[in-house]
Amino acid sequence: MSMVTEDTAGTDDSQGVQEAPLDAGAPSSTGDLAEGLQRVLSWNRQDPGLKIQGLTRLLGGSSRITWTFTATGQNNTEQKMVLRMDPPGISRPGSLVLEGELMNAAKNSGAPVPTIYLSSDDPGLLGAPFVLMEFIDGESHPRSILRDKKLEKLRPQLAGMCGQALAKIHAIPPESVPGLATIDVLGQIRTQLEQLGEPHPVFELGLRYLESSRPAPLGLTVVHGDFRNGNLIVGEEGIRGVIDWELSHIGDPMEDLGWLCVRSWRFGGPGPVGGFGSYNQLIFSYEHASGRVLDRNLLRWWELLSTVRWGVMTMMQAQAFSQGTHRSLDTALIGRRVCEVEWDTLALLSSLRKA
Amino acid sequence: MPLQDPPAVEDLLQAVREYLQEEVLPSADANQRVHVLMAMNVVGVVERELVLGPKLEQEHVKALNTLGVNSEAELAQAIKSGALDAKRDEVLKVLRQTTIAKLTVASPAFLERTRKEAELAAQRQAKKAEAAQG
Repeated sequence: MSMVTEDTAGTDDSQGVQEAPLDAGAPSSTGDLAEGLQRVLSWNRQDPGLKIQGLTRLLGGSSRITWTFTATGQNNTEQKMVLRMDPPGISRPGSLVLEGELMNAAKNSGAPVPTIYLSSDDPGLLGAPFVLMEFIDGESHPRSILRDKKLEKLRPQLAGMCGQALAKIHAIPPESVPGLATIDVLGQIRTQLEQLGEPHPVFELGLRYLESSRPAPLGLTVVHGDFRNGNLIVGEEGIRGVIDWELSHIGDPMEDLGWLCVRSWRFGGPGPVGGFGSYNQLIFSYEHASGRVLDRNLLRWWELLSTVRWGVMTMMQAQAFSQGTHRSLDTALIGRRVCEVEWDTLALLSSLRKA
Repeated sequence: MPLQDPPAVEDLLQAVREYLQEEVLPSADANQRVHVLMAMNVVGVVERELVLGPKLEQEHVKALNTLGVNSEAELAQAIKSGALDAKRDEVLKVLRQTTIAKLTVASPAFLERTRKEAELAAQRQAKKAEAAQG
């Protein structure tokens, strides 16, 4: 989950993923980490001459630390990789290993995901649980996906491709990832809002509507949990990788479709689906690829739920600032942007009333 | 006369924002630039709250009173309990006003953008209706 939205600076100038200074909250010194990686990968690949170069930390996701680097083997083959680690002190044993297993299962199901090379819970290896995966070259910056000339031909097809990728993710046999928890997301939002202890009448009204009009589930499947513009790596030909699987669980597959339509992921683009596509493109392609049948009203209900979910998530991030657990300029602003999500919630509630 | 000497708080904040905009921003690298823009945005929020805050608060309390409640917490509780179910339209009206008041301080650009979008959508609706009649 990328906890800081692209829009945080409140201007179109903000960039999503950036390179951070190497000493910014790094789990250990970069040198130590590079040494650790070299040791682990040399052993894993049986290549004592393997070298690690260009270790660079990426900003963007805040609940995991992400690095990129190039591993050069003895025979001079270069391979660019991504390392994801738990931040120091907030290690959640099992979760990164599970994420790796899930991504493997997604690959077997035919979904576009990076190949997993190695994962481990053993903090003795790199200082914290980690997963090592393939670096996928392509565009992941949401605004570039919406504006880059090179992607002009892709954009009209991208919502349909999202529907196809989601159908493949939802086809992962749940028994192949036994560690995934089953989550009733509506109940989860209610609990989180209560734990926050701040009055938010708009989200109360949203929840009241959702609880009184709950549709029958479309199914019970693996859910990505954060499938949106921002977690897709694309090329001119299509989606190359779906990333950021840390919110995955077992739930209603409609959850992923609703989340993809939340306005915060449109980044100023005109299409309701990720800024690039229409509801119908998403619905038709998903129906065709999954064999499930859904309609526009069902999607609207899940978009409302997802919008309220995002509102509560932003409030949780804002509380991290107020409580001093995560102090930075961007988290300082998050609380003051919850009202944007409230505005979107009200707009949806009004449209549902008319429908 | 207030105790503190001039300049007023608003003017001091404006000086900070102008310094960031005119002195810091032009020479910032890409990474610093985002943070300078965020800092300018934070100062802007505080400036708007200082100037507009008291009036918006007053209007907010008035709007809450039309629903028979005195605070956000009471309103949240009343919605949750179902006590306001029969007044859904009035509740939506108050919530819209409240949210606009928050956006006016925190995110005026967002407010403007969504208003423009809503206008365009209304125009499209009207054209559709016209076409259907003609």
